[in-house]
Amino acid sequence: MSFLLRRLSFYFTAFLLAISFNFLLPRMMPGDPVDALFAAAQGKIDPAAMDAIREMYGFVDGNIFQQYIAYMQSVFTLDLGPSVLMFPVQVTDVLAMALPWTMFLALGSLIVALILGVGIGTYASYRREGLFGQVVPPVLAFISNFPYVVTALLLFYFFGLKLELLPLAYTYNPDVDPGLSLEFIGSVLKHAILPMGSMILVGIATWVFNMRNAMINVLGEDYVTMAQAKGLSSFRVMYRYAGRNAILPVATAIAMAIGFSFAGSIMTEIVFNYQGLGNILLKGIMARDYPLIQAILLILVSAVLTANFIADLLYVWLDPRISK
Amino acid sequence: MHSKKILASLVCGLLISAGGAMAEDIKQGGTLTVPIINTGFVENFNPYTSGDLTHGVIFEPLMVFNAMTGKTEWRLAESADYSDDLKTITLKIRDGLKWSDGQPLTSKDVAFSYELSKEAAAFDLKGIWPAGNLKSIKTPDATTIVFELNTPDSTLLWDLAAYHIVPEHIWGKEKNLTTFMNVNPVGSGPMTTVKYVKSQQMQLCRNDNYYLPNRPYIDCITYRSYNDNSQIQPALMKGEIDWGSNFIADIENTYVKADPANNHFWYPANDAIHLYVNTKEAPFDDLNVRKALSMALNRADIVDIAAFGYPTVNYNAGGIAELYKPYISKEMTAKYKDLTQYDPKKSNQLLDQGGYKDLDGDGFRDMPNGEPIEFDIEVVNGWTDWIQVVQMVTEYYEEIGIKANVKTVDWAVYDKNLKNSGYKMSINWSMVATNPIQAYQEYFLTDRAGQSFHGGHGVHSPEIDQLINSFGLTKDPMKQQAILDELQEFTAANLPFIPLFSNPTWYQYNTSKFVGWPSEENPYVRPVWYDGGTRNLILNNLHLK
Amino acid sequence: MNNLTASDANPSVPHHESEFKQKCRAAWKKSKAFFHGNPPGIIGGFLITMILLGALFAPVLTTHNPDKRVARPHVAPNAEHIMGTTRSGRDVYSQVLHGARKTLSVALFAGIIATVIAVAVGVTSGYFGGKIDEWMNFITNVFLVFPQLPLLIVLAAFLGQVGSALIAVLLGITSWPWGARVIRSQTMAIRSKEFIISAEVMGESKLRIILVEILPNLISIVFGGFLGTVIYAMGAEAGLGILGLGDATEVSWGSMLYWAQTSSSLYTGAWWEMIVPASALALTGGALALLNMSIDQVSNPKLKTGPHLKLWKKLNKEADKRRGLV
Repeated sequence: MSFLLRRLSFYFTAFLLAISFNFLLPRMMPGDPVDALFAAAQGKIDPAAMDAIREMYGFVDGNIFQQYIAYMQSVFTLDLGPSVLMFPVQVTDVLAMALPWTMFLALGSLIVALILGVGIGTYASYRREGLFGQVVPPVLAFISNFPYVVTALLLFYFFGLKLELLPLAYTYNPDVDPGLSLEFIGSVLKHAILPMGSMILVGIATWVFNMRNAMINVLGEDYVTMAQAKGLSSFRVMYRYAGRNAILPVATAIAMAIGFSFAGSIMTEIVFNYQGLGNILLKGIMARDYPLIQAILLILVSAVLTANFIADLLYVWLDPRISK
Repeated sequence: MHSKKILASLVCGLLISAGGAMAEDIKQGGTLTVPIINTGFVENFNPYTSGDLTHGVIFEPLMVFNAMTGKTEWRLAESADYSDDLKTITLKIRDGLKWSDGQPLTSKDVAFSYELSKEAAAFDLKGIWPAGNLKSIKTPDATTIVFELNTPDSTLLWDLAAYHIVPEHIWGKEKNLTTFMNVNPVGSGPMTTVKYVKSQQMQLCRNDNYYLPNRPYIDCITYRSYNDNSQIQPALMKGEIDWGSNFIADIENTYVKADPANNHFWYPANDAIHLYVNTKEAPFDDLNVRKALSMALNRADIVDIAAFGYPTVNYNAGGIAELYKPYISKEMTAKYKDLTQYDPKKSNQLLDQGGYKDLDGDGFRDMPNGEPIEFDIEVVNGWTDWIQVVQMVTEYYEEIGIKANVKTVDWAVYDKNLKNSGYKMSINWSMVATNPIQAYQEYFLTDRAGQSFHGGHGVHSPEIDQLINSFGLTKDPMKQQAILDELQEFTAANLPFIPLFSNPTWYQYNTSKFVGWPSEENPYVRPVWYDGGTRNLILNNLHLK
Repeated sequence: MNNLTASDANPSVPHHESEFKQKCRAAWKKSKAFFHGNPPGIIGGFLITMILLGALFAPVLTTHNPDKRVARPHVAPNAEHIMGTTRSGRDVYSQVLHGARKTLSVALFAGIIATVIAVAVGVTSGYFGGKIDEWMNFITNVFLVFPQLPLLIVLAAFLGQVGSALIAVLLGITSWPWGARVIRSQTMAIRSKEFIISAEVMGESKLRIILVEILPNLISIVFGGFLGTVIYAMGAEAGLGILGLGDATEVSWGSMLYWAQTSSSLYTGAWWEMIVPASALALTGGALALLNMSIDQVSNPKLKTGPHLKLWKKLNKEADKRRGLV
C-alpha cells in the first residue's frame, strides 16, 4: 500500500506544479483577450468600452498572489469561469462539448492501434525469419514515423479531396440529429475514419515493436520450448503461452501512450476540422482565452496522471512484489 | 395604420433594385445557408456577446447608412433630424411596430436600448456615454425619441445606428446584462424564431410580426460553423453554402469553375491599406524619402501577385480610396498623381539628391552621415496576404537600394507599436465608417494619438485638429466636402503613410436557389455579411428563383 | 550531423596516416557488417545519406534563390521548375533543399540538447542512486507527465514570432525525460555488473567509471533515443509550422507546409506546394526510423539472428578485451 501512497503523493505534487505553471504561462506573455477581440473587430471598438469589456471577462489587474489563490480555488472547485471566446458560456460547458470527441478519437485510435499492433507484433515475432516478420515491421516503422501532420495531410488529400470518399470536416453531418439512431452513429463513424486512421497509422508501430521485442524475449524461455515440444498448435503457443507473458511490459507503455494520443489528437483534429479539444485549444490561443487554455492543459495533465496511476494499479495487480 | 405612401415607395424601391420583379411573381420560402467562422454555436442570443450573429437578423436596425448608394435606408426609424444648433436629434420610428412576441415596439424600447449601454458599459461600443456627448434621451410620444447632446455634433447619428434595439419588457427584468444569454430571443428583425441550435449548425426562421408585408421572402436561415476559410472553400465549391464572405484562393479556377452558371463573386473595394511611416525617425522625417518610397512601388503588380488581383489599386495619395469614392477630390488626385506611379528612376533621383548614397559599398544606401539605412516593416504573424505584400515591397525597395525587412510580430506587439509609434514602417488598414471624416479623425486628431492605430506617424497640428472638429459643427454637405478636400490636400502634401490598395469585400453567392443578390450589375449595397445593416438589406431582398 | 553518417561515410579525423587507414578499414568493416543482410538499414541509410547530401549541398544543387520570387504563382512542375512554384512564385525544388537545412538542423539540435540532458540525468540518477536518484526521478516524472505538444503550441503562440533556434531549444528541453528514464534503468542494470564493481574496488574515480565503463555500454540506447527525438522534433517543427506558430519568413519544411496551407494549394490544384514538403518530411522520418530499428537489432541480438549475432559477439569480445576480462 505504501507504494500506491507514494505514487499518489507524487502525482499530487506533479499536479500542483503543473497547474502552477499553467497559471504563470499566460501571465508571462504579451497581449490579453480583449486586445485579441479588438484585433478580430479590426479596431472598431471604443477604447472606453474595451476597459468595460475587460472587466466583464474578469480580467482586472490584481495582486498576483491573490490571483493565484483565486485560480487555485477555481481549479479545485471546478468553477473555471466564463470562456472569453464563447462568452458568457462557462469554460466547463465548452469542455463538455469538445472533450467527448477528443476522448473518442484519442482512446478509440489507441485501442485499435493497440489491438492491431499487438496482433501483428506477436505474429511478426513468431514468424521473424519469414517474409511477414522481415517485411511488415520495417514497413510499419517507415510509415508510422511520418510526422502526425504529414500523415493527416496525405490522407486528407488522397481520400478526402482527390477520391472524395470521406468527409473533410465535422464530427458528424450537421444535418443529422444527434441521438441513438443508426444514421447518427453511422455519420459519426464515417467522420472518424480519416482522423482516427491517421492516428492509428502513427501509433501502431510502437505496439508492434513493443510486442515483438517482448515476445522474442519470452519465446526464448523454456516453457515456450516445452509447449512447442509437447506439440501444441502454434497459435496456442503464440497467444496463450507466450503472448500473455509478453503483454506485461506492453501494459506499462499504454499509460504513456494515452498522453501521446491526446497530444496527437490535437494536430489531427486541426487538419480534419474535428470539433474536439485540439481545435478549441487553437481557437482559444488565437483569442487569448486564458480560462479555456488553462482548462484544456489541466485536462491533458489530469488525463496523463490518471493513466499513470491506473498503470501503477495494474502493476501492483500483475506483480504483487512491487507493493512491498 | 401606417403611412402607406412611405411603405409603398420603399417596397417599390427595393423591388426595382431586386431586378424589377413584380410582387406577385416573388416566391416565398426556402432556407438560406451561410458560413460562420467560430468554435461552435451555443444558445446565446445576446447581441452584445454573441459575436455579431444577430444584428440585422433578430434585431432590426433603426436605419442603415448605405455607403454604396450614399443613401440612408430607413428601417425601424422613418426619419432623424438635427436641430439647427446641432444639439438635438429627433428620431421618429414607424407607427404600429411590433416585437416578435406581439407586444408593441415603442419609443420607450428605443430609449431603453440606449440607456442600457450606460448601465452595461461593455455594451457602449461607440462610447456615446463616457465621452459625454449624449446628455439625455426623452420620449415625448410613442414614436418619437429625442437625443440631447452636450456639444453640437452632426456625426453622432452615425454612431447611434450601431446599437441594438431590444425589448424593454424582457431586458428590463434582467439583473446581470453581460451574462444574460437571451435564450428565447424576442426581436423585431426578419428572422426571430430559433428552430434549433446544434454546436455545428443552427437555424433561425421568419418573424411573423415583421413590419414589412411578405418580408422576408425566405423562410429560414441556417448558420453553419466552420473552422477557417480553408474549410469554407470546399463547402462553397460543393454548393453547401449560398452566401460566402471569405477569402477563397484562386476563385475563378476553384469556385466559379465548379458551377459557372450559379457560382458568382463580386469584390467591391473595402478599406484602404497603407504603409504607415514613422515621420519622427530618420530618414523618414525627410518628405522626399517618403515620396521616393512611394514611387518605388509597382502597386498593380503587388495587387496582382501578392493578392490574387482581388484588391483595387489605390492611386489616391489623399488618405481615402474607392470605399469613399464620392468624396475623393479629383483635383487633388490629379495634382499628386505622380506620387503613386511606379517610377524607380525618380525614386533614385530623389534619394541621390537627398544625399542618401551607398557609402560603405554593401549595395544599399546609407544616411549622409554614413549610418546605414535599414528598417523593419511590421506585419501580424499569420496575416499571410499582407506578409506577401510586404515581401514584395521589400523587393521593390531593394531595387532602389533601400534595405527593408519583413518582421512578423504578435498582435499584441503590433497593436502597441501602432498606437505608440513604436514602428518605423507598418502595414495597416484605415477606418471604415459612414463618412471619411471618421477616417481623418483617426489619422490626425492629436488626442487620438496613442489610441488610434492610424495616428502613430507623428503628423499632427492644432490647425488640422480644428479643421477636423469643425466638420461636426455644420450639416451643410458643401461645407463638409470643402473640409474633406482640404484634408486630402494636407495628407497628400505630407504623405504620413504610403497608400497601397483597397482591400476587397469578400463576397461569393450562389444563384441556384436564391436571387436578388447585390452584384456588380445591381450594386444596391456593399455586400458585407459582417455588418448587421447591410445583412438586413440583403436578407430582405433575397427570394427563391 | 557527423553522428548520423559515422557508420557509413565519415571516418574520424586522422592522427597518423597509417592509423587513419586502419581506422578507415575498421569503420568500413563495421559498417559492412551492420548493413550486411539488413535491408531496412540499407534503405534507411541510403535515404538519410541522400537527404543529408541534398541539405549539405543545397546551394550547389538548387537552381533558384529560395527566398525570391522567380516565376508566376503556382506554375506546375516543368523543366525550369522541376517541382513547380509556390503561390508567391518561389521555386519549390530550391525551397525543399534549403528547407531541409533548417528543418534538419532544428531537429538535430533539439536531439542533441535532449540527449545531453537525458544522458546527464539518466546516468547520474542510475549510477548514484539514493537521494539524488529520488530527486532526479521526481523531476523526470514531472516533465514526463506534462503534455509536451500542447505545451509547445501554447508556448510558441505566446512567444509570438518563434525562430527556428528557439523552437529547437524548446523541443530539446521538453523531450528529454523519456530517454532519461530508459538510460537510468539501463545504468542501474549495468552498475551492478562485475566489471563496474571491480573498477570501483580498484579505486577508479566515479567520473572515470561513468565515462569509460558505463557510457560505452549505453551508446546504442543513447543513439536510438537521439534518433527518436530527432524524428519527434522534426514532426513537432512541422506541426508548429503548419499552425503558423513558427517563423513564416524562414524557409523550412514546416513553413513550406504553412504557406501551402494558407494559399489553399490543395484546393486550387497546386498539390506540389503541399505534397513536396510533406513527402520530404515523411521520407526523412521513415528513413530515420528504419535506421533506428536496425541499430536496435544490432544492440539487442535477440531481435535478430544471422549476421547481427556474429557482429554482436565480436563487439562483445572486443569490449571484454578492453575491460581486461579475457
